[in-house]
Amino acid sequence: MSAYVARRLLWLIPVLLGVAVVTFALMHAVPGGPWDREKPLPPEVVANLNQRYGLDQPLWRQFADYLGGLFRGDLGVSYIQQDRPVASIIADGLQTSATLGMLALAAAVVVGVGLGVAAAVHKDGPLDFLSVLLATLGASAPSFVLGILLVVLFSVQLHWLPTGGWGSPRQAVMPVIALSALPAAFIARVTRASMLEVLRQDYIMAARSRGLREWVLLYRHALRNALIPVLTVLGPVAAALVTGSFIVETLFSIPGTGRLFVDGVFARDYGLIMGATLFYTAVVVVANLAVDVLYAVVDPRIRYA
Amino acid sequence: MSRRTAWLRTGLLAAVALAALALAACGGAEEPQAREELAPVQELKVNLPGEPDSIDPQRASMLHLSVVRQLFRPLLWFDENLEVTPGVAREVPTVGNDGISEDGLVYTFRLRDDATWSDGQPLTAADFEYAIKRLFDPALASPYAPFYFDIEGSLELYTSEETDPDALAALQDAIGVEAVDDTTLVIQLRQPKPSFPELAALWPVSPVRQDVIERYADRWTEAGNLIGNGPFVLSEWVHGDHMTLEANPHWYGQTPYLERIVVRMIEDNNAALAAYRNNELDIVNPPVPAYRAILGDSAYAEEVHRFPDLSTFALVLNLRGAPFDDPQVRKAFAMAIDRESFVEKVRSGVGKPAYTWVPPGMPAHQSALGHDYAFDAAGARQALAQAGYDGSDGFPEVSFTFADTPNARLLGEFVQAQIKEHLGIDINLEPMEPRAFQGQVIAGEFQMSLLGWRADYPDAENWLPDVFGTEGGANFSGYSNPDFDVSLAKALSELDPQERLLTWQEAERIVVEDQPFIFLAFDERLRLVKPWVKDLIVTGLDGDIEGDLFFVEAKILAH
Repeated sequence: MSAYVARRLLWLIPVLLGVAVVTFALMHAVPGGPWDREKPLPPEVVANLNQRYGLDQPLWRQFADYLGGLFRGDLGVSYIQQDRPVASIIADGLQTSATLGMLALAAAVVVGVGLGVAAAVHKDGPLDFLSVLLATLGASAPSFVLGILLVVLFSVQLHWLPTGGWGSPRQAVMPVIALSALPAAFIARVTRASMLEVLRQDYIMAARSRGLREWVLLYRHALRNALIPVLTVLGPVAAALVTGSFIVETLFSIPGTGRLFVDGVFARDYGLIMGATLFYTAVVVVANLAVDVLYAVVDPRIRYA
Repeated sequence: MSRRTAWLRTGLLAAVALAALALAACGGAEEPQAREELAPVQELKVNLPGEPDSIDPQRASMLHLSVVRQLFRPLLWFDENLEVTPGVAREVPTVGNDGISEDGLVYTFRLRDDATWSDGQPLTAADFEYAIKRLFDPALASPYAPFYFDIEGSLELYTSEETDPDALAALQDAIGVEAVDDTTLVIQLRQPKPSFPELAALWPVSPVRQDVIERYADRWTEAGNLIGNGPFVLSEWVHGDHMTLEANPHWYGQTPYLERIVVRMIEDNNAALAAYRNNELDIVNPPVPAYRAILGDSAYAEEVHRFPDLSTFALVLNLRGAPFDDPQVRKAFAMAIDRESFVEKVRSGVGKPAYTWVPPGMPAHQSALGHDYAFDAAGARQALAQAGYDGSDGFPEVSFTFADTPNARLLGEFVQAQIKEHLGIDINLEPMEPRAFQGQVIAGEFQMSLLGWRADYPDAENWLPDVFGTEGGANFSGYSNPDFDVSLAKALSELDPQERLLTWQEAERIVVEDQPFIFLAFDERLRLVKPWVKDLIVTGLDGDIEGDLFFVEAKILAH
């Protein structure tokens, strides 16, 4: 297993390199540069700015310098954030986005699995109907619509919760709800279907006929098997949540990594664009690896060479 | 229980939950009312639309000025009418008080002797000398350095390709800024510049602490490191979230009433408006699409602040090719657009129709000019005919390129409708991603575009040369009229203020006659301000946050 994990992690290097090349090429191919303004900057200013940030070098040289910095852990500086090192911007943002993401993931799993199991167990009953209804709503309402509705209701009308920002538990409530709605819906549907499938199995009937208590049956035996398909969904969901949602972070003014990439692209902040892209890539690769490892943990039948 | 009971029970629970929520929502909380006396905690909560690029005075752009102004103060300042007043310099230099030499080349600033930094250290002329020379450091790449290129030796350092530190130091020494003693700063110009006092009131010539910068390098503007000479200090900066400014105990000017200013960084206008409604912000800049609703809502009547902004927007016509190289076509298009209707419909009545470039509030503004191009559908069609077109037949395709923002889109649709209605011509709308758009306009690849221009300082010099001069850095339309250039040159060097004003006006007349732009509207700012914010003094030079020039006067009433 550890050999397998090591091999997968080694793959990270060529993947990141490939992504770096493509991103670098694309971002310089796109029209408009970091110094274009509505009131254009005089040419002397642009010349000095380009020199300051190394943009007057030929492209291959800029890329080589960037790679050199990358090996040293230096991701360059951000033009739009007081020349702060990109690495520390991402680290700060990551703390916030990861916390928000983990909370949303936890909420999505708890609510989703709970609803899914309840729906499967009380199939065709009111609980099933309600769960499916909530799941469909959660899946259909885009996160910004849900987010805006929450803000209008809980902040503007009721004054119960702050409209945004990050730091206190009260500020986390609405973003977590907005962010977890869709994954929760997904997870609920998958859990319900999977649970129904598992509950039909012979071994469940056999265990039941041997007098096993219902809740032990459900949670020790049925759920564990039902969760495997859920894990498939969980990998990409976790990656997306940890890297931060642009929409939710913008709506609730949360200083996470979700906005970084988009802000960077709009401002043509090359350091930020490269850093954010490489960061996302790494997260996705690691998340997929984590899911594959979890499969092996959850299902003893799965072994990796 | 039976199936049916299960359904009933769940249904009832859901209904009760919804009803409770609906009742609570409809009830709403009582809005706090402002009272007569001052609040026990003097805290102002404001918003910037995002994290500042930089709050280093020599590098900061106009975008996040409001914060820089609280932390640093330059040589001079402005009063409510945008007249130059003393700042750290205890009087405005004039020829009469020996502050300006007879030939207009030497400025002597006499500083207050009680000025201090926020850590108590005395503020001297040497600090200004360091800061102003730093403005021209090529490594710093300051965007505002060119405004001050009339200072002797500045251009040479800024455009220097030198890498040898001794050579660079020599160039720096050659700059015409000298701290003769602790309270006297002498600045030498290459040529007379009548607007120099105004430039000395702007943020790029704020003093900075050499020792702090040397110690912390790029991190010197972080909270805890930054030392300034303004009425407030930066006590906290959580990047991307908020900044906290506290009253500077060593401030030598008028003591502010405010103890604290909390600056949030909510990028989205709608989210900011929600925060305002939740009493998290005291001042907010609502999104333009919300104007109509706000102006029509009596609940906001007390809170709406409208004031003229020193800004104009206009349609930029590319004179380098068809169809806008033909003045009759330009005239036709200008007369086909109903500016009054534009202000009414698209801007919800906020702003004024514009027929010239220099806006009201600037001394050079001419209100009687440009009405030959005012809306007149029949006249527009006549001009089109004079250009040789039979109605819209054979009229070349025209594209209107603009940066894709909600405001611009509304404007684009309005213009498209007007041209269709009054000239029968279909124009294509081409919204573009903002940076790509800026690149395109700078390269001259467009036919019709949109430009909004705001004053950096209240002088026509900031409005006409860059945009309409043949060599102008912002001359997007490719306009070139030698008569205009002659007037420009005359105005730039004219020392007599009255003569200067008349020359600027003459220059603007030439531009308006030629119509390289179709002037649309002078902008007005609309802000919502909570009723408990008192003595907020607004000017056309305000940054993003209203009243930022005079926060020392603002107070919070109890509520």
